Amino acid sequence: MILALETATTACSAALCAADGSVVAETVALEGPAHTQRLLPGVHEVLERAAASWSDIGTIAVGLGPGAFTGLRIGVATARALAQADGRVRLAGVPTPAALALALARAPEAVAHRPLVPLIDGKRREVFAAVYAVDEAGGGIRVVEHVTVVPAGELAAWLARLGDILVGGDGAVLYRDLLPPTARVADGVPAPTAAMVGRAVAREAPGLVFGADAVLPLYGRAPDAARWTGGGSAAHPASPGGAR
Amino acid sequence: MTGPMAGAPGVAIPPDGPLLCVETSCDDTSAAIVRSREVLSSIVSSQDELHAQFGGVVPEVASRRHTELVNDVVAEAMSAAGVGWRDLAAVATTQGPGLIGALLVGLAAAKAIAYRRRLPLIPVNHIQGHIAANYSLGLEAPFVCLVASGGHTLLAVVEEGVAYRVAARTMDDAAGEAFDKGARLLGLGYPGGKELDLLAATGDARYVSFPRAVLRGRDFSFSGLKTALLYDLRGRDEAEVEAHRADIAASYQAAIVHQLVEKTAACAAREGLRRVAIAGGVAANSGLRQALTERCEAEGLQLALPPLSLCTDNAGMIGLAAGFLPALPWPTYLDLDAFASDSATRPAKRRPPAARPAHSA
Ligand SMILES: [Zn+2]
Repeated sequence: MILALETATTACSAALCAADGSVVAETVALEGPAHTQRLLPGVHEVLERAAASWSDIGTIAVGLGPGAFTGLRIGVATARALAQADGRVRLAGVPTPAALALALARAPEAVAHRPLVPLIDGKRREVFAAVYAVDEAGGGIRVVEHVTVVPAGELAAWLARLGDILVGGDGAVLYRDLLPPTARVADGVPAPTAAMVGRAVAREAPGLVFGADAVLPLYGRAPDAARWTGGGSAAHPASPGGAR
Repeated sequence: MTGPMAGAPGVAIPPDGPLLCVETSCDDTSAAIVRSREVLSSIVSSQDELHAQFGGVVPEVASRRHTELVNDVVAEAMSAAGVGWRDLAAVATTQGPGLIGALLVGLAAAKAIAYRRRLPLIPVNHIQGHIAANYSLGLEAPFVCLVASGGHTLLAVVEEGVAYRVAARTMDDAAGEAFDKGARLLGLGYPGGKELDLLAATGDARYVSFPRAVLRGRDFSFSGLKTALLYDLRGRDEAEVEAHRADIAASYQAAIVHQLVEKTAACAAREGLRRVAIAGGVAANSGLRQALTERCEAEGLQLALPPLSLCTDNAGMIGLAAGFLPALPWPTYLDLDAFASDSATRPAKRRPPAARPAHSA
């Protein structure tokens, strides 16, 4: 079975999925206290509910983001440490937009040949957006445009050029009023969940990675500090200057 | 409020069972194996080089690095101590105070490891960790401990184990912050405190007389010193600063050290304690170690000076403190959160008037 975690947005979830991606047990809280207070209790709950033991689990999978930095780190650090202390399971990471796109492909609103556009709140009125298409041959999805940061004010124009699309994720909920008329919102996909991550592993979603060297957060943005060095902030001189 | 209180329901762990300890409260990623009062291994992956380009610790950069490093550091600590997963008796981790995003990485990893191995978890207060470093020297309570680093400066009256009362604290900057800011003003490299210490050793501490009038109260204050240094440097031309940089550094360091030593000695006298200890990154400052040694000798006080490796942030000290703290039984700790500050680390001026600045295990 696959033990999956997803913490890239304010939604926090853990899921136990069968090898084919079907959900055995899942906890989802779209909002609530910090991820650190919700994630492991969620893991414990799904294991208890399914009466599963660690020997039943072959893969520990986590959504890599992008999303909110602190949440991502809690999910990734938890998955990495669980796998390390287990010593036997396979550690997997899935780009969160790919997990969302797979869920969009299965949504009732999905229409053949219509691009799938996961939207994740990036805070500061920015959205992480990517474009996927249903892979007609394999029944999976493929990347059309990799993740990029779109300012909320430019979202309508950025999406409108794609024609008729299906959108989902917390960015679609948050900026619903800014979406162009060509964007159809998948109401059943308000946020990425662990079950979507588990399914993404089973369906070998694009960007799927394995092992501790690869399973690290996809931040989608440099830390603020990197902006300082570019700007040479006076409060934090990048290089030692002379006495002033 | 800040972890388990003394007498909280804890689970018994074998006294000779090894603890896996994790500490990520600031910019060092550290893991250790500690058995009773012995640090079997302590691995510290310093991020100094990474943060040097920014001239200070950048929380987001530190948190990212912890995420990449913590598992390797844990593996290294275990293999250095020759300890396997099945040998561990419990996992100990820093819960706070510190940089919240940085703390959360270590806490998430420690909780997950403890959960997967069905082990108890011991949340440790970072300040209590610093204090406990002194137990590696065979020191016995009660004693006065000067805890000084870039993030905190206080005098702790340690009554028993790691239970302590705050006898004095800083009203503004931490001592380590004063060193770092001074180093920046003097145009030294990063980490500033270390550079300033090295340079000061070659200078004449009588060259500038920095104000020492602040000595009236029990609490520390360093922001005035920093301002005095700024004005002193502004009053000199570049050639003069160039020629006397070591002398100015030595004078500045001596003023900080003087305050730390005087307040520590006064606290010991006021509390009627004959034992003095020192902890935190500033405890690695050679000027402070020397001045405090001399002062304690003059007054007949017993002084504990932990090795430098246990002064700066490290997981070994977390394990030494954990031995005095209750272990939370599996799986009661799964929702445990970190905390950025507590009553001991908030500056004195923001303390509510009625609150007693106490913190006990
Ligand atoms: Zn510290």
